[in-house]
Amino acid sequence: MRSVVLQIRGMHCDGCANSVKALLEREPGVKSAAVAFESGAARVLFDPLKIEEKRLLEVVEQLGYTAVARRPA
Amino acid sequence: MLDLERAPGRTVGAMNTLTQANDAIHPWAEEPSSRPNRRKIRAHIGGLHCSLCIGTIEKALGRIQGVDKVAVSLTHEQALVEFDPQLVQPESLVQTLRDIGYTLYDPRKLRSFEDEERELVREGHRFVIAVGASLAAIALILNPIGIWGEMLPALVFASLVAMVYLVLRPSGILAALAGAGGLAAVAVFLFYLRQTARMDAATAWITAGLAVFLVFGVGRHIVYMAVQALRRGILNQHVLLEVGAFAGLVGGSIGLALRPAGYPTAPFFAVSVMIATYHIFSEWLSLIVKTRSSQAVKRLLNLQPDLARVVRGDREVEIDIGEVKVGDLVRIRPGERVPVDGTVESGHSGVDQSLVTGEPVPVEKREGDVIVGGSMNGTGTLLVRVSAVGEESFLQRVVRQVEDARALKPGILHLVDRVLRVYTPVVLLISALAFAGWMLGPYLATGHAELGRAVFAALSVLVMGYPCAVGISAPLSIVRGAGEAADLGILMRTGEAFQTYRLVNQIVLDKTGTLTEGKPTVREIEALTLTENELLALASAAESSSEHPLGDAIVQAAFARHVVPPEVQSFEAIPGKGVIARSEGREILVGGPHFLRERGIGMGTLDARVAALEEEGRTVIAVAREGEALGLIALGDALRPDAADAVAALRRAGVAPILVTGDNLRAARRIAGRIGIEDVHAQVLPGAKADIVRSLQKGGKVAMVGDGINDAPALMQADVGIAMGSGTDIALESADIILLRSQLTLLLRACEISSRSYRKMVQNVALAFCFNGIGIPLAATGLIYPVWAMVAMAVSVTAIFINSLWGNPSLFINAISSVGCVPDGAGAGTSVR
Repeated sequence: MRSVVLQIRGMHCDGCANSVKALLEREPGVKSAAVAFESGAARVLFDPLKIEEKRLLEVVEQLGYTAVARRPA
Repeated sequence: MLDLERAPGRTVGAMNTLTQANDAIHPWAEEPSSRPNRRKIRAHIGGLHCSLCIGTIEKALGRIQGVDKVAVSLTHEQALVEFDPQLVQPESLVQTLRDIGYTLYDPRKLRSFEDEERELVREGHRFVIAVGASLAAIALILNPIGIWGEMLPALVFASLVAMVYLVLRPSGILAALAGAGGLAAVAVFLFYLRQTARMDAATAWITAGLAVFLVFGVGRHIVYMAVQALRRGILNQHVLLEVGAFAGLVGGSIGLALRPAGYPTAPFFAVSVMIATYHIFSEWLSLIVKTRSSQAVKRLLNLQPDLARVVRGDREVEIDIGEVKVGDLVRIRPGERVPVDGTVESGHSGVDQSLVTGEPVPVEKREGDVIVGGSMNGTGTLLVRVSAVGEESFLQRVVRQVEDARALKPGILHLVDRVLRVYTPVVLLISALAFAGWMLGPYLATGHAELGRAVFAALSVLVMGYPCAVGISAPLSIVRGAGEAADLGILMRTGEAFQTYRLVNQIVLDKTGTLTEGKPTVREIEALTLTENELLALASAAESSSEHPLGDAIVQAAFARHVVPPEVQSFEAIPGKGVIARSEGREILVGGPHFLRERGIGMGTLDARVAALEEEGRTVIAVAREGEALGLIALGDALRPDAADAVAALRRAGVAPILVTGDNLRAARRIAGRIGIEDVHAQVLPGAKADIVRSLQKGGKVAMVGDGINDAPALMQADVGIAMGSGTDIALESADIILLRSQLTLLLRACEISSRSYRKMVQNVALAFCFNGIGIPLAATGLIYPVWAMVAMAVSVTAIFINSLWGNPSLFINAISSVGCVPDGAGAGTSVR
């Protein structure tokens, strides 16, 4: 299990945050995701054997947002 | 409209799948009868115009020899008949219905949003034409003398022009301006012609033409409905309208034929035009209200057809649920809804049955276990051998119970119909008395009967008798109430929601998913040597790869606390018991307390704690590392935060709460105790919930609150069914009220809105009848002119508009201007009648 925080730019409202969360959680290997619209941070718990971090970024970018990964503090 | 063809295959959403058997030749569906030697049929009836029809159908069918039971539902337009096939055949029952003017339609026909919208637009245009005729008629009879003679017609004129503008507004501002302006211009031109040129004779003829055009042309469907109602022996709104309209026509015709001096020929015709216009308007408004509320529910439903992934040879094919056969192997992937009943052939997974049985804790299913359609699969993949399909399947049995409950639901006589049942005969009687009085009175006094005056008085009473505003009194108060409810996240769907909720004295509450959140969450953590978070980290590391039913709840709890589970090197799940994992070189055991004991791990002081937590209804998971017990994690279904407040508030409002659940008695009692409910029914089978509601109904009106598949029959049976917005499709479809936000305190708010709307409705009906009530005795004297009927009409309609929409006119304007616009996201949906 690994947890990562993605910094997402381009979300306009809670609706965006909800769809990012739903899309992330639909990926096999993602156990849970929490997305905050105010801070633009998405915390994702995933199984590194089933899904790569790169793929998480791709999912967010598919929606038209930009994302970078930063390690949880 | 792709869904159109596939929709009948849906299981839970569509109520009409029952009739998909090959009964295409018959317009009814067979139902299993409750008694031997009896047959039961369900027929969908078209042409129900008012709540008085229920009684008529029940009487007409009940009279037939061999018929035992008849139940009719107005909202859902269907009848359930139980009869002795030795004595009577369904064909003759259906013929009886046809004889009294009802049609039987195929319940499988679906209507799309677009069709419904087109119908609304069509009815709207009918109204615009009627208003045009009314404006012209007003211009033709207008006699502007004195301040009242100018003010009133001007007011009516302006409001009608404004209405035309509103109705046409969705087709564009130019069209609306042109339409409203054009009609107004024609009327003003007619008025100008009358003022300048001499066209007295023509005036009467033109008004006559307008009246005939409106009554027999634009409003011919109303004549038809009135005739049908008369054949059924019902005196409803349509009959009352036509009585008034025909009285106007007859009165006017007498004027045309005999030309008595000073006789109001044109006004008689004009009254016919006006009352027909208002009636068309109220019909249209009712249709808008009805269509909008059913569309709102449809938008909540998951209209996807149900498919099953069937293993054929070495391939998996997705087929419609209706084509699955007994013995087929169906693959169910993680997170999917189980589409069929069957037994697990291979695989194991935690299955959430809370919507089917009411148990909140998922059950682990392995080879040989029975699985019920409608439950939610957890994280494992299952291969299921189908054991029942179609009529025999669990979901279809529930659908059938809903259908039964639907017909057995206590019907309500709508307020307006209740008043009309007395009012209409009284109007006819007074009219007859006025005639008789003017014939007899003068005859006794002078020896000459006053035929002319008698006819005039009788006709004036009839013309005055139609309370135009009555048709809009109910829909307008519903527009107001439903609008207020929508702001709070409450969807008020049927007449029952407005008329009956305020009378409810018992409320049946489902436990799982209604009073509680409906899914297990981590409630307590008991750590011996580690911190709570460290314990949670270990447990979630082991559980994250397992398919254990409660594993996900533990992982979610860890995630919520920002705990990152350590890496797991190896992992073994022991189905039904627990998980053994290796992490950081050490062996971790997570599972039920028994699992640890079996492995020879002493629980020590934790034993007492396990017993205490289990006593409280928690499911306990123990964690051990390298043979040493580290602690416990307790999971349970949390009560909704506002459950206790909501129940207390309901009790204060005089509603007795009753808990009904499919879960065990201990769990039910514990929840009930915490929120203060004494009356508890536990381990109730899905069908039995409706029976409980039915028996409670002997003691008064009953509301039922639920969300699951197993709640649906009871929601339908209850006088008022209330579904949580997160509930299953079948629960939403069976409910009268839907709480879009899962807040139980809304139960009371909905009740307040319902009483307030009902009060408005009563006020409106009173206003509607009041002005005509004053007018009728005056008309009976034969001294007042028909133009006063128009005045009464205008005043009562205005009064009702003000009373219903005071402070919030936008609700009405929005309702009117929404016609013709297919709402977002609704285009793909289809409706099921």
